[in-house]
Amino acid sequence: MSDVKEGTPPAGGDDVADRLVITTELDPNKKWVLLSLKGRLDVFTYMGLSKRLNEEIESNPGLNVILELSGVLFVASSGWSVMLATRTRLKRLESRLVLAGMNEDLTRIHSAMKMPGLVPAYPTAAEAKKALAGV
Amino acid sequence: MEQVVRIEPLGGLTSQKVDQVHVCVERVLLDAGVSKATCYAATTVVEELCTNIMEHSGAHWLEVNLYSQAGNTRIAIRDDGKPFDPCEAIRQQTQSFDLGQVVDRRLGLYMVRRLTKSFHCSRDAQGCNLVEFEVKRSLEDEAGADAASEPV
Repeated sequence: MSDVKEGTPPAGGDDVADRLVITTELDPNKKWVLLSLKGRLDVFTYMGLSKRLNEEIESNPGLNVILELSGVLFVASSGWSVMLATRTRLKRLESRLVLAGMNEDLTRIHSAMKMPGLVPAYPTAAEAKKALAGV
Repeated sequence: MEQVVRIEPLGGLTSQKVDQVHVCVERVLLDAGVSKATCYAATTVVEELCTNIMEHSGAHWLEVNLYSQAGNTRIAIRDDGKPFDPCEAIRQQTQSFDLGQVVDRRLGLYMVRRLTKSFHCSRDAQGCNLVEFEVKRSLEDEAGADAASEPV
């Protein structure tokens, strides 16, 4: 596992390094890679997540990706955009992106935006792993 | 309940200002007894629109006017930035938007459209941008309300 603080400081020295922490776990059976997020996924952190996802996809081609969001209290449109772009990229590689552990508030927004058909969500990371293990 | 949150000076997009808007709006709505679900949707939309103002408009200040009555939450956002009409942008996007093809940050106005109703945009008497909308109540009835209440 590795911890990385992700942030893209805008001009002016705005310090956003602690805004989003990403922890990675790789499936020993090479079915999935799990990224656990803690913090806020917003206009200041989405680029960091995008970069990290691209690195994971390049390092582990063919693996499915689980975004574990139980430590995330807020997702802005820029965060949802990263998920949709990642889903498109993985689809071309015949892999999948799934979400796990969203709280009630995020689940409502995810549903209201009609995202479940594109980026499915599981209540827990364990359930997401189980679903992807059979893919 | 009627309250105004004013952020001045803006000085562009900073995490401190975005957090300030988010926290103030959340506190006002929760104190007014607005449901947690509606409050969350409201703060999501306000943060989205205010982020756009801070990033693109060159505004020196913005104001978030919050009204809540009988479970309905109405919000008006004013700023003194350059003219921008999100309603027109939403209208154009609605005609050719495919959620499955999103690869950049164009999702913001779509999200605003999905979480609000009665969305109106104008320039007020002082020449400021004015955006007014109502937050869809608790999003549980989202699917049923969807067809009947498409904004703009």
